[in-house]
Amino acid sequence: MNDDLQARFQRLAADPPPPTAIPSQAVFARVRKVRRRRAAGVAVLATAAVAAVFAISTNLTDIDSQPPVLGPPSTPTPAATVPSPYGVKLTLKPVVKGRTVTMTVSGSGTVLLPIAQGQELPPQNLMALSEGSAYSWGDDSEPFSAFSNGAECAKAKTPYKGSGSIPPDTHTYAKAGTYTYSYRERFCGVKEDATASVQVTIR
Amino acid sequence: MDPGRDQEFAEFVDGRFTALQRFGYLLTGEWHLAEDLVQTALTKVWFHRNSLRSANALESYTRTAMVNTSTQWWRRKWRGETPTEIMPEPAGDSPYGVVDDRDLLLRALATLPRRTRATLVLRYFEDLPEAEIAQIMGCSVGTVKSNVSRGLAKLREHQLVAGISAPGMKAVES
Repeated sequence: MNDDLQARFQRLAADPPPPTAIPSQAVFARVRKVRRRRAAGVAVLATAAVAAVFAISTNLTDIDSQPPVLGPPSTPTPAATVPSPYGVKLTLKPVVKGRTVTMTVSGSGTVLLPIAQGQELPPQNLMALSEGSAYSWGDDSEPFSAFSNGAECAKAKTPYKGSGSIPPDTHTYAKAGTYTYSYRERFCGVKEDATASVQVTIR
Repeated sequence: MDPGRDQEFAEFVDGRFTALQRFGYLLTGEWHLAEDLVQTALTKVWFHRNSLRSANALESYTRTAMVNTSTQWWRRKWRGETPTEIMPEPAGDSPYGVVDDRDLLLRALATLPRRTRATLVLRYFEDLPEAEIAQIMGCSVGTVKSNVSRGLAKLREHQLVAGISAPGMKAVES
């Protein structure tokens, strides 16, 4: 036991396991996640502010702040249902190791290429063309949700058919059980968000 | 993201990840947590990389982020129940009297306050001078010295590592 502390530290940390993902890719995935989350927060605040101003300006019309008298609602005109040519199918692939789950999300389908900063994004990994995503691990951890305000889709017009995946995400469950992981992704041109869920059993 | 700066950062991450992972393991005691800690710290560093004085400061800044993050995790106690690779067993229970030296040291480290533990790891694992440790920990050199002294004394109090010795410190036989 009369050993040198430095040598004992070296022995203690001598055999690190290989990283679960390419380190730089894993870090950049987190950076993107944080950026998307921050962007979504700003977008939500801006939208809320615009909505508040709009509500005030349209509903409060005189000095007594009375809402305007509206006419009866017009009868909606039935529209012919046309199947959308755009859609994405998501695939979830969980890998369970102990209580840690590594989730790989991939998707394939046809979307419109978003227009960012005046330029149409080039065809690439389909999931990188996403307008935002939301997921929940199905336990007590905070669900993630980050979506852009849709500005990149406003003038999108070029269809793109492709596939891709996002860097695997990992999560450690606190206790054994069966959890439902759910994922939602939004794309330009796709009316309904693409969704998928999978059950994860932790023993 | 700036492709040039991202490439530089990616090279740093891929090149130093294992070393940082080892440091993280000694801070947390678990490899999975260590990887999570490194990635979390590097993400924080990425957002502040423009304020770094030089590329050399990147590693020092990352270690600071790791120490602070591990301390925050510990305070929040979110890791109350986490998986362990090896179930710890009392030394006397071994049928052959063989004690896993590494496990004992890990358990002894777990009894130390988080910043004291980080100071000892920086001093004796990373072999950093006290001035650099003070910079990473955001404290004075005097505080580093007292933390090292208290940490070693605490380890020696621990029966499992009573005979520990360290450079510049008098060893105590068990």
